Amino acid sequence: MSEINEKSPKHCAKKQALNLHILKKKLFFYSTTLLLAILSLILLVWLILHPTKPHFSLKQADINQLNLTAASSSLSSDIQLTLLSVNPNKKVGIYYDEFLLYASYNGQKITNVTSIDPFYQDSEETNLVSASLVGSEQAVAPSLAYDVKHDEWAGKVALSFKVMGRLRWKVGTWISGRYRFNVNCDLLIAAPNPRSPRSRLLVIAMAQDTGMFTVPQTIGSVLCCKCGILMQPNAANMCAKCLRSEVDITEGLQKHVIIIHCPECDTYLQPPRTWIKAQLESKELLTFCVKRLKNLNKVRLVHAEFIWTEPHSKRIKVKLRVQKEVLNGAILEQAYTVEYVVQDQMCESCTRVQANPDQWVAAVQLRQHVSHRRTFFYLEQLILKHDAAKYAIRIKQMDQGVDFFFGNRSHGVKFVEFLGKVTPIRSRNDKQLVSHDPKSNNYNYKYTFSVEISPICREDLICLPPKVAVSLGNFGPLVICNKVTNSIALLDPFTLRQSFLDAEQYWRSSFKALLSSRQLVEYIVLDVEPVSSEVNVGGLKYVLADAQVARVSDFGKNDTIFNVRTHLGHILNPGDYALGYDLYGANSNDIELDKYKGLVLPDVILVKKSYEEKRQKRRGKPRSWKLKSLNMEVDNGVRGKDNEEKMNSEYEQFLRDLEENPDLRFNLSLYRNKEYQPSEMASVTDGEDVPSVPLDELLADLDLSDEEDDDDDNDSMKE
Amino acid sequence: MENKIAPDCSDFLPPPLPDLIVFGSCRVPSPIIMATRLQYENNCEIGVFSKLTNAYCLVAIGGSENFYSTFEAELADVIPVVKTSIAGTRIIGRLCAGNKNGLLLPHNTTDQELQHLRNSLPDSVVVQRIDERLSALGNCIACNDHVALTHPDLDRETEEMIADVLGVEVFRQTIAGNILVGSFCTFSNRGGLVHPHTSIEDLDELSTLLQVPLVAGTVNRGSEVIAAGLTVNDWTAFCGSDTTATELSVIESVFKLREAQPSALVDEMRKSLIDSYV
Repeated sequence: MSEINEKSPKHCAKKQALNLHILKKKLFFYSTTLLLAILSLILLVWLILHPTKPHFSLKQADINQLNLTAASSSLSSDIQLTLLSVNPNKKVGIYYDEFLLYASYNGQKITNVTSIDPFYQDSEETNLVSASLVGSEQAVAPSLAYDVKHDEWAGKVALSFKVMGRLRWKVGTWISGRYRFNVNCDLLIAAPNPRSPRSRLLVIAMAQDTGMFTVPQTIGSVLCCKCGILMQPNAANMCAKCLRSEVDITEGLQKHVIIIHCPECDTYLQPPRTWIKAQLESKELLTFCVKRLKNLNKVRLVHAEFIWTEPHSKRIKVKLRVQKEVLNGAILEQAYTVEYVVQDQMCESCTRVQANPDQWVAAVQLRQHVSHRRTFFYLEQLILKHDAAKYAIRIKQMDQGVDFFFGNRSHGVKFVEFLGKVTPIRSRNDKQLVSHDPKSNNYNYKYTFSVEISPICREDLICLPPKVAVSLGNFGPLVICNKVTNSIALLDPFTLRQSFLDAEQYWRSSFKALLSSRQLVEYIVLDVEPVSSEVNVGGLKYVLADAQVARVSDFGKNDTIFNVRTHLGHILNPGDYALGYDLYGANSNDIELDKYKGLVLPDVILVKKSYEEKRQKRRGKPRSWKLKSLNMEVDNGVRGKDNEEKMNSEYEQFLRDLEENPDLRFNLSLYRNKEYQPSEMASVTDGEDVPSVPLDELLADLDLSDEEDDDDDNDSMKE
Repeated sequence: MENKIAPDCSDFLPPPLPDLIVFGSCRVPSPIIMATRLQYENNCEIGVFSKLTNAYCLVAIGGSENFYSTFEAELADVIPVVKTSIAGTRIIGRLCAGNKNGLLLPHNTTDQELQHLRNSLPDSVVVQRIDERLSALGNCIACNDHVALTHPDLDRETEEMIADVLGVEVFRQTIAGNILVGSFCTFSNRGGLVHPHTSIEDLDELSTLLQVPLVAGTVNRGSEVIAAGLTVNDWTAFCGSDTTATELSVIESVFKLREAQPSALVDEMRKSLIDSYV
């Protein structure tokens, strides 16, 4: 059997036919796929772009003129129109190539076509399109006059605005062909209200122009419904007299008012605590008097004037004219008089001035048992800043302290509380019976508060008692006090450890300073070698360093050099001057020190850098800033001049401390010194200069006028 | 103003005098009645709750009989006093308009009410329900037996209907700028009271149209809604109890209510007699 390789012709033909059919099928298939692809692409594009028609809304339409001339049947109009055009599409921009606007009334075009310049509106952009539609002598159908009149009666005017134009769409970079668009906007303008003068003018103008016969309107008269008197009609249809008898619009308004007046400074109390200076019969007094009236907002005040009264009568009379709407909108005007009773009462500042400083009730005796007054200088500034002693009737400077006298016990208590917040104090109070009224059970006391500030001051060297040192975690025992607020901050200069003692903790052990700032000795720094990197201790930066120092007094005499560990590595450089405690040369007889057995005292403890050399140059020049001072009585009894000189040098020292320590002046108010002229030299010098107070920390001083000068002490306290 | 042409009112003789006038519940003997003050359930706007013409009087159905009996006492001998509601409401005076010839009712009047009114009113009175958009016909139409003033917006068909049913000449008018002519004026065949703010020129024009003397005035202690506080026909008037004596005297004089009294005739004669003697 041989294999048949030939295919039958029938088969062949069949195959050929089949071939043709498949080709057609394929063609059909491909074209359908292509078509579907294009359609889906279009759908996709449409879905992505999601094109929407632009939106238009009418923002504002002002009809400036709408005149109808009946004779020639023509209308002149002037309409200001603002359209808001919004393109809501997210990805399609619009080119407006043509933008034509006109207004029509009752299907008639009444203005010329106004064209807006072509503009482009980006996707999701909003544009305001303003146009002034003017139609001068536009011919209109004669029936329009009737329509206008009818619309007036109906109380509304129907205008419609039409916009037509051409636009092009912009998608990406592709820009479509032009399309026409039409906008119709119907507008119903509210009735020309005959009450409003403008629209009434319009109505009259229209009426005259339409050639209609208008009658001049004469207001008739009616009888008052109560008394029958002939009068012009009003809203209540009642004559003024009857209306007044019917309603009293001043009902519920105050007619007697008590005002409080300070006879000393001629001021009036505006509750709660403002005092207003005003002369009799002055505008200010009138304003004040009117303001004092309650319920005056229920009526409309049209007039107010004083009625003259004798000043010693302690009465002020003000005649007021008020209007109020009564009975169906009739407005009634009525005059009435308000009597003010002037009661004399001294204002607070006058009371303080007038107070007899010897008649105090509470005294605060503030003391610090140290040899200097630095603490009090600082405290004075704090008191000024917080206005803590504003109720003090007398302030007296005493040896080792200050006495404050108050007219009231509570003022004294408040002051002691304030002191407790800014310094570590302990206080006790006592009272002394002054008088006693057994009938009414009244007791009259004088109170004394004895307040003691801890003797530990900034920069003092302290040898902590063993108990305290142990309780602070074997702290010290030789420490420097570097800050005093209501607690005492102690710093160990050898380890840079810091510890705080609050007032209660301090007074439990109540140690004293080993050496205080008066015993500081000046050293010259020969070499500095930092031991540690910069350490932040309680907001201040310190660097532990080994320093070679020599006493300035020894300089040139002997070669005594001390090698010390100091916490001032960050500011000391070789050649600088520094202040420190000379333990090497000091004879200390401190009990606490003796309690430590085997404590090796360092030769020197440096406390701060000294700027003495640089200050020499600036001696005598005023500072750019100044401080205020409390008005303190100074008792220069025994040690007059000596004492004063010491005080001045201490004050100068205090000012320098302020300059060197931004931390210290943080809580104080420094004022700009007007007499200070910055020298040009200062700006030229470079490198390290004496620390000074930057200008932006200073406050402008409030300059009070001359008339305040007479009550001087009062004034200074207010500040 | 008082010298305007006297209207033709010869058909109407003055009614016989009742002996009593009713004020609320107390009966006070009154020799002469001209205008009566009354209240509808403590409301002085009696024109809202009643409709008085020369041929009939409609009164709202109320909780208290006082209102009705006041009208009854005054008018029962002369004209029918009919208790009714219109469109289920009591504010009949504001909903319907009519005179001795006919009565116009708004489109929302029920068939029952219409039937009741047709049965109760004299045969000479045409009762007609009209299809007008403004259904408060009393506010839109003010009329006497010869002339009607209407709201400017009433349909033309309504206007024709008014002319036909009421047998009047119709004028579209406003009163002192108010389009609700029916509320702000009231007039009979003898006189009329209009809104107090009507200007003298308007007053002249209106009285020329109506051919009756008009006066600007108020009712109910200064109320300018005249038709709400006052309902009047040729020989009597009813007004709200707030109306003051002054207002009452204006009403009596302008509607010539005093002349309608028989005693007026005697007074007049006596005056002329005394005049001739003195």
